[in-house]
Amino acid sequence: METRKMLKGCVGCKACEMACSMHHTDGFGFRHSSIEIQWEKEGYSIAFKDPMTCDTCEGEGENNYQCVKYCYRAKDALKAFILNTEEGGEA
Amino acid sequence: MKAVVTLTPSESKRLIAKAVSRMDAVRDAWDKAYVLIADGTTNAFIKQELLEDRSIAAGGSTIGLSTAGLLCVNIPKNRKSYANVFYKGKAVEGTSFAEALADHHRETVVIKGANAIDPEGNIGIITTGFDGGTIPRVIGPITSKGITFITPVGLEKLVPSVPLAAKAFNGAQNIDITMGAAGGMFVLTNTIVVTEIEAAKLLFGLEGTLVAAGGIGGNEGAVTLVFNGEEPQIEAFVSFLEKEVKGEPAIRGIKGDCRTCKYKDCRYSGLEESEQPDWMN
Repeated sequence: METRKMLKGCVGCKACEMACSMHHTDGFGFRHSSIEIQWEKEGYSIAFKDPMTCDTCEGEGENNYQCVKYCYRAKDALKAFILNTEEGGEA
Repeated sequence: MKAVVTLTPSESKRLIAKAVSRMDAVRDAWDKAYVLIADGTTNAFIKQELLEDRSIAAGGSTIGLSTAGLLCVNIPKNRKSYANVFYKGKAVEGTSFAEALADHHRETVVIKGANAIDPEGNIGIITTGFDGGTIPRVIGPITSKGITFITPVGLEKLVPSVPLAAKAFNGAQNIDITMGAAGGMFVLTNTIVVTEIEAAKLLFGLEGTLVAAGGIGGNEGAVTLVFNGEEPQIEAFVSFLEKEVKGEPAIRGIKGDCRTCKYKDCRYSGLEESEQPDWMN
């Protein structure tokens, strides 16, 4: 079941989805991303797609999550989501 | 990675509106305080984004406008009435800007467009109104209290110097012949300016440079910009433009009625339609 979390500071640019697709395919395309950003009334939320394909950027170096690396506005919240820690709330 | 993009004036307004509606200051004000949005076409786009309502007509959301080859003022019956004062995300009818500003909230934001911007970031706002329009009603509390004042403005309006432009205008009584309404220009120097460059920075973290302007066949007033950023950011930006910005239709300008126009200084004021030059209609 998809679990969405609000992403504090996110403006919906989807650079994270692009970076994720680049990690998986060496190319760009939202459909290849493991994550999905979505507009809610209160702001933007994020969820892992089903089936789960996030490999925490295996092969990119330790703790070098590409989505976080290329996020301009919501790095902390995004990192917390990827690491499944407390920052950000349920959508 | 580098991207070259060209935006028509309407596409620029859409990009700028998407950025302004996502600014932290605007979202904070939308949740906790007042957002005061003056009339104007770029501001109409901002209202569309904040209210998620594309039926708000930009062409009718302005009083003074540059259209039909003139600086014109449209007639009241052609103006669409949309709310300008929002409190905690809800339209508030019957409250003026002055009253909203008097009900002081630290997070309150005022959003007003401009007619000119110069390379120093000075903003020029033409006023042909008999009482100076919006600025006199807001500039006192904004200046003394430090209320956030955002100016969304497209780079089509870039001029060499706003202070020189204001001196050149110098008010209606100092103008001998005018094709359109005569007036003066306010110069504002400390607003938060959001052009296409700031919009791309706010949304995608890109660095932009204006490289060219103008065009034909619908590109009149278009701007060409170069943006630099990391690959995923540039790809996301271009995808965003293609999905949400490009193809924004031109705004239809609604000219005033020369026959009944109260701007007597205008060369064409009082003319019947048959007397008006062909290029005007």
